[in-house]
Amino acid sequence: MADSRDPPPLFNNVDIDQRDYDNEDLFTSAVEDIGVHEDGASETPKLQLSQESPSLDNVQVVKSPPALQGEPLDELEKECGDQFIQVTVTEPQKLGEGMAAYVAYKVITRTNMPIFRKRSFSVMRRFSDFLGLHDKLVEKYLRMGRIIPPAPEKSVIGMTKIKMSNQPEQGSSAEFVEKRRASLERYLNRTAAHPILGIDPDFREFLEADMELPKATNTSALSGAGVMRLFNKVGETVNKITYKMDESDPEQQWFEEKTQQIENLDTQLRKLHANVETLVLHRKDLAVLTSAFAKSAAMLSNCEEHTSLSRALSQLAEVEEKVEALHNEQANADFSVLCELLKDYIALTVAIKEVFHERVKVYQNWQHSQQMLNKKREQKAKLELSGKPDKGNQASVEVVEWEAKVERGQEEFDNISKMIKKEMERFEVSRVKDFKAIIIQYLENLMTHQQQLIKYWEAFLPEAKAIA
Amino acid sequence: MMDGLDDNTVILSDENRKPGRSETVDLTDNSLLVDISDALSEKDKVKFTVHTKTTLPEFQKSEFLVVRQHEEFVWLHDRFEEIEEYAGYIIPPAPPRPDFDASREKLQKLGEGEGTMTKEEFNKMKQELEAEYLATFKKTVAMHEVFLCRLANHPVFRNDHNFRVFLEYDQDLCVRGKNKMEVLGGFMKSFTKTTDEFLLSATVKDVNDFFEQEKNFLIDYHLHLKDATAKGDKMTKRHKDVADSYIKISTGLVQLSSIDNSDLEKFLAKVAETFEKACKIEGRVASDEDLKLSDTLRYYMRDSFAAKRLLYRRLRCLANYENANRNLERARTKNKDVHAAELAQQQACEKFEQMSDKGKEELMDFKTRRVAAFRKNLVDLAELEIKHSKAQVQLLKNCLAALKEE
Repeated sequence: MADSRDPPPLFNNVDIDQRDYDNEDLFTSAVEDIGVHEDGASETPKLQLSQESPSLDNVQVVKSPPALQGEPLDELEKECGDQFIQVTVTEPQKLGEGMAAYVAYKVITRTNMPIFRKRSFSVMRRFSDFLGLHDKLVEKYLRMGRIIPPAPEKSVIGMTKIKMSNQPEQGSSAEFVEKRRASLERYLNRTAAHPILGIDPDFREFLEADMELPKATNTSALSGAGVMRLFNKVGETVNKITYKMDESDPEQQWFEEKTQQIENLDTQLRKLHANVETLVLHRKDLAVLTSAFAKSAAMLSNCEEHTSLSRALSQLAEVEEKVEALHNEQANADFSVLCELLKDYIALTVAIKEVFHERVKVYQNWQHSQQMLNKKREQKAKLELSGKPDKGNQASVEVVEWEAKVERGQEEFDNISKMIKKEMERFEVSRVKDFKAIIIQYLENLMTHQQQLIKYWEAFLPEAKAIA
Repeated sequence: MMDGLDDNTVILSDENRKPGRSETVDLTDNSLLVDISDALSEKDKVKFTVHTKTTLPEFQKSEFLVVRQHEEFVWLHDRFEEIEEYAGYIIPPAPPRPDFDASREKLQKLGEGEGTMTKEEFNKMKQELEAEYLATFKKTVAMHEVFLCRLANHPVFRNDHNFRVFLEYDQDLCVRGKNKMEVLGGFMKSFTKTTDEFLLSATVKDVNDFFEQEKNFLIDYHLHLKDATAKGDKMTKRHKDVADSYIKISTGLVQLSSIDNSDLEKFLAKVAETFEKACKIEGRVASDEDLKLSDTLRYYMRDSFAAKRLLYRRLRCLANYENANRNLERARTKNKDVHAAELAQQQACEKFEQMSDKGKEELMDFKTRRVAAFRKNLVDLAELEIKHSKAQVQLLKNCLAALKEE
């Protein structure tokens, strides 16, 4: 519970009060509902706390457990090199009826990581479970400076299609489900690839726990928590004083530079994404038109009285039909390989911007504490001068408290800055790897299609030559 | 004659021809060579420079140039259509109007959107559009040339007075009055409607099975060709759109590469380059498809229409012949003006038989021409598709090799 005598800190969601940290796992939500501070461990899921808290009891709370900070962290990352985990999302099934209908997916995990109970296992999950997982991870790790892989977007249109359609296996609702399935898979794999998030207890539970997860109601747009989030967001931007960061500090310059880079990256990715979408549309249209032409050529061939020309024309019609199928495949590849890659990275840049923003919030918090400390010191000095020992003592106590808060604020700021740097390094590495791998895959795909085209036309050529 | 017509129609689709170099078909017959040596595109009109080289005595000079516009070509075609003696021939279809509207529109849109794209992108797109414009231009020149060449190589048409005037008269043929054209155009349209209706509803039963068959075949064939041409056009246009979107992607990648300071910079730049080259290749595929496939279909659509017109004229002639027969019978029963009626009937009979003979030849020739043209163009099409796909494969292979090295 926050000290009610002080003006509340600028940010509701930061609980500076030392008391709670003693009882709780560092990873529990920083974004807490106002009523829950004192209860401690109540609403967080069952498994993980009991495992982690013993190591935390005697540790200075603002520092993360040693295993997860500084050099040991690097070791952990190196370890992950031999370890492998792969998640597949399959078998979408429509369950439920009418407006309550939803799609459940089978999530299959294959891994050799010892932290999991088995090497291969699967569970059924629905979309809101994925969103719930993401929210939990954000709550735990965003404040620390982690870049949390973004979850796929909600889609009212898509879901309405699902709820309305009688045959979820076909048509546009099937396309939607397939797109969603693929993006859920990428989401899980990206999260699993993260050295820390990948072994997070909530994540592991998501993959392993062979039972329905409690419905993540907080994820729906109009829930109470959703509204609270909205309020919090609004509240955050209305600051009475914004503390400007020291721009001469090379550290700060690094952050300014990075922010700009991410901004640029975001803009360029969005443009490129739009262009690739146009390509996909054109190609799909080309496929349709090619098919129409093929039919027309077939009719022409039927009508043609000259036998070998007629045969050649009907062969032409066949070739064009095959070409149409190729165009369709290519368009799908354009989309699922290239387009989705770009969309994922656009979402990632948003996630990065969020974490940078967190850092700003942490800074504001720290500066606010500093302000308060100064005020308290002034108060104390005044009281001592005016010779009121009782109030003087009180003031001293407050000064000490705020000194501690300032220290914590600074440490938090330093930590988040360090963490962001680390995460950005990791992001850069995986961005380069991802882009390279996927673009190469795309080009290889393009090449295969062209080779296929060669085959088709080479088969047609003798037919054309045979016209007599 | 047959050879001449054959190869002339093949010239249309010869990819390597420069606008202005007409290939002589029959190497021994240089008596009348016509080509379009130059063409100028001015705002709305295109001015063709028609160059004639001849050894025929009917012409005043042996080599001369005139400048003609599209309307004058149409005028010439219409004159041929009107002449009774030519009724038994397939009149080469007039070339289509030069249509730069699409290109112009695109160029305009590009100009409007100049602010939203980078200088490089703008330049690249401008280049593409200019190339497209040039291609359309070349095509229209070729079509006008083919029309003239067919006339020049036809043993009967080449001697036509109007044709000579067209080639020689160095002033404007006063056919450019738009209203006149509109009127004629309207007349033509109603003409074309009734042609089909007439053909289909011909109560005049054709004695000759051959013509009956041809009629049914041509009506159907023409329709299907029309359909195939339209669909082919849409397809090639969309193909061009796909090629164009490669450019945008290429510039997007260049920009992405420029803001990157990691390994990806070089990587993306290489991919951007590849996309640019791929765009050019896809563009070639689209335009080759247009040239070999759509244009062939289009040309034969119009030629089959000309053949239908022949059938129409013949049927009209047959109707006249039957009228003459009836008149003769009536005259005989009334015993009045028998001789005149006999003469008329004889003339009508001769005319009809001439037309039928000529017509049959022409239709057989049409078939041969058509089959040969399709063969050549389909073979060309297949070969070009293979060539372009191989080029793309090579391009992609090189790109991948370079990318994987890094």
